[in-house]
Amino acid sequence: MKVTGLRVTGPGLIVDGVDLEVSPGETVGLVGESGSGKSLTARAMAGLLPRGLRATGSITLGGRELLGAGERVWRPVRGRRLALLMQDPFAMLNPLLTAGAHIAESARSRVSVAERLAEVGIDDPSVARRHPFELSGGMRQRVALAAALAGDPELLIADEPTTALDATTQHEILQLVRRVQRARGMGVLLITHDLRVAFELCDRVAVMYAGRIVEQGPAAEVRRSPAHPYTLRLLAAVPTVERRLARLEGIPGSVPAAGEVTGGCAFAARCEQVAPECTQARPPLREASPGRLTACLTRVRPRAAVHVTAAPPPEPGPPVLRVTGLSKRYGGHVALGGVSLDVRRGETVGVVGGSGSGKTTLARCVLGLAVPDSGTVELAGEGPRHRLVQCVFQDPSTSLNPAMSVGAALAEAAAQGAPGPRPTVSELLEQVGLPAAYASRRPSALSGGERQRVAIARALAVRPSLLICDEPVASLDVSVQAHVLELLRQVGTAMLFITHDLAVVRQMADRLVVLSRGEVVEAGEADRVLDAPAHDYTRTLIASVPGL
Amino acid sequence: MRAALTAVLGLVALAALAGPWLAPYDPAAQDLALGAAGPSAAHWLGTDEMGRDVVSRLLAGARSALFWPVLVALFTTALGTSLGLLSGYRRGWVDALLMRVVDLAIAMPGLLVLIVVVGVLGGGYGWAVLAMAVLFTPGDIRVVRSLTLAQRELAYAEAARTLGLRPGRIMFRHLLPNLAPTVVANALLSFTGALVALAGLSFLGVGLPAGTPDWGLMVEENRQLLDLNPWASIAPAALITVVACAATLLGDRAFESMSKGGVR
Repeated sequence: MKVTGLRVTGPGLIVDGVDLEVSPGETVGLVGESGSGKSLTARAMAGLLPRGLRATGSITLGGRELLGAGERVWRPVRGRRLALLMQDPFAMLNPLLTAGAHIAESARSRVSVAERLAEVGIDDPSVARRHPFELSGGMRQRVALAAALAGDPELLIADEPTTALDATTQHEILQLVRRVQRARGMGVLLITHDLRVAFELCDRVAVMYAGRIVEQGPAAEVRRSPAHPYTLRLLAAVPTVERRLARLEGIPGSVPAAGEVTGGCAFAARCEQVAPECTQARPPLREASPGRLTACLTRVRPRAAVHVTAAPPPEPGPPVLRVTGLSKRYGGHVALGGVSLDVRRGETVGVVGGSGSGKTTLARCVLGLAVPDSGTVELAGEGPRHRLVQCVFQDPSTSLNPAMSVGAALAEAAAQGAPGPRPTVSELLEQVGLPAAYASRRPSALSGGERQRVAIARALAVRPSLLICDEPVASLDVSVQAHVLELLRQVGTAMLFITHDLAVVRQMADRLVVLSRGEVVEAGEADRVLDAPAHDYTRTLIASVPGL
Repeated sequence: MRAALTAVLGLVALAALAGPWLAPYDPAAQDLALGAAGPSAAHWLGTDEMGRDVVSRLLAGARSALFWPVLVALFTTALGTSLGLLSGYRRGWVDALLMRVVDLAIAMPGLLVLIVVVGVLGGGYGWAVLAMAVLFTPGDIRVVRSLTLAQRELAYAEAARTLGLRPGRIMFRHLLPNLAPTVVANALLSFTGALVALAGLSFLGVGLPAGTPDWGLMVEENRQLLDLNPWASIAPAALITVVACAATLLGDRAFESMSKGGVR
């Protein structure tokens, strides 16, 4: 498939001249943060642009022009020649059809459903008779992959196929896609926001920024020596599982819309090595070395390694949370099977585990949103529970009331605090690094990172002695993640930090608790657990973190 | 489109407020010599059997055509939304009890109940309107309850509970604004329903006393004049239809424009 000069316009310009080629047997990664235009590029390539958007340029598959073609041309192409794998396998599968029906529906050869399932690593043929809701997230994505492959496509477009999955399953699915791609000699276009995922799977990587490709090249080379400052900063922002960094570096500012960029490099405003000529004309995508394309005028200088000595771990104070023998069942499912842990003043305790490990149930029990079957939750201090413990939820786009202004939400939260001097809205906004003028805005007028800052400010408004963070950066872009994590590090409140991402927890936690199927399988100093894991499950978790 | 819809309802509202001053004749003034005359320069839509001016009676009827359905819509929306929020947010026995009452109310044949109520209580129009409002409420309770059940599970509602806010505040300050599109659309549907149902009651002769300038009653009373002055019954029927359609469509539009940018 070959894409030339693809432009997507809606109310404004979204994709601005993308050239991309995927050859048979090649895996190409299209990487970018939200707002970069990567998903719409993929949708345009499958002829599935949402209503109101228009694509111009050229998209050819095997020499045949597809852009602007009618549904009659597209229909035999989709499924047979190109297939689509999407982020949320639950939304992609029809809840009323069995796994087998999904595969049989798109199959064109007479290969049996069982063989198709075997190809995606499902050896149990009874899976074919089950409905999507009876399958785990990883299984659903396998079934979705089997259904996508059933028409023997030449090109598979995978749009964030592993974002909704936990680390171990993500690793398995990526390995599976690679295996199937090799065996079939199929082309794969992987759309992802995660550089680590792209490097793990892809031969070639294209980095998108504000509707344009800013860098393209073989994955290994891009990883070793980025040719665009944006890629360099993105790589620097990715947390690592290997050691705790003294400072987490995000990229200041935010991605501009493609239409707002006029005559100049889109990244110039956020770039450290910006030169006067960067803002005069839009730098073209030029060949830096054979096979390497960059839209930067200058040679990228590697950044000086920042050597800041990490602050010594805080003196363990008295416990602010003590959980003993906590258990909770939902019907026959054991969510928590006797979990004990404590959090002391000033320290951050990380809770890690895959989906279904019970980590969110633990948080809900501590917050009082769920009632445990047995066991106790003791919070140090006087007063109602909501003054002792607060929570930062995963997705700030749903955890903030869309009908309420930022100021009203913060004022309401502050009023729930203990009597006495309470923080004002502008103090709270300042604490999380937002301008006071944001008080009058609605959450919809904020970016994802800004929303999460507001959510953090709301949680801190009652001055709780314990802050629970439930996957606080899982829905955020890498460059924003670092800012939010750095902010949380500076808060100073005792924290229970829940995540599936070991690289993130490495950056945050003093101590670590590893949960599996509702039980603590390992606990101890974070460095000790991550450097010398004692339990097999912990080792599996560590092995499945995509490395950089 | 939206402007046109608002204009239709605005004109009717103007007639309801200023009808007596706008009307060219006294709506009750009879001129038997003129009985059932067709349209003329003096009487644009002609006169009815008693020689009363149809235009003046339509203008006078706008008041009851709007007033009573608005009353029904306000009553059902206020009660239905509150009980729906309560039922969906509290769940448990409150929900179980309310839902059984709702089931019972929905199982009753509404129009028959109305006719019986009006018949037994002796034609008090207020009673008919009240009975209608009560009959309309269960539908609203159901709709608001099901939306509340979905909204209360969203992270922002959990965050509000984590903050220790009182249930009343969570229901009315946090959940309600996010249900507003549906609540507004529903209120306009209740208005339409009441307008048509009350006109139906008048047509059946169990509403207002004969002779009142009322659109439904005019359709019924002037039915026999179809060959002499068809406008006397067609015009009020057309007005009922236009106002009902305008309100329903406006509800649709309001729902669409209000639900942009909310939590799905």
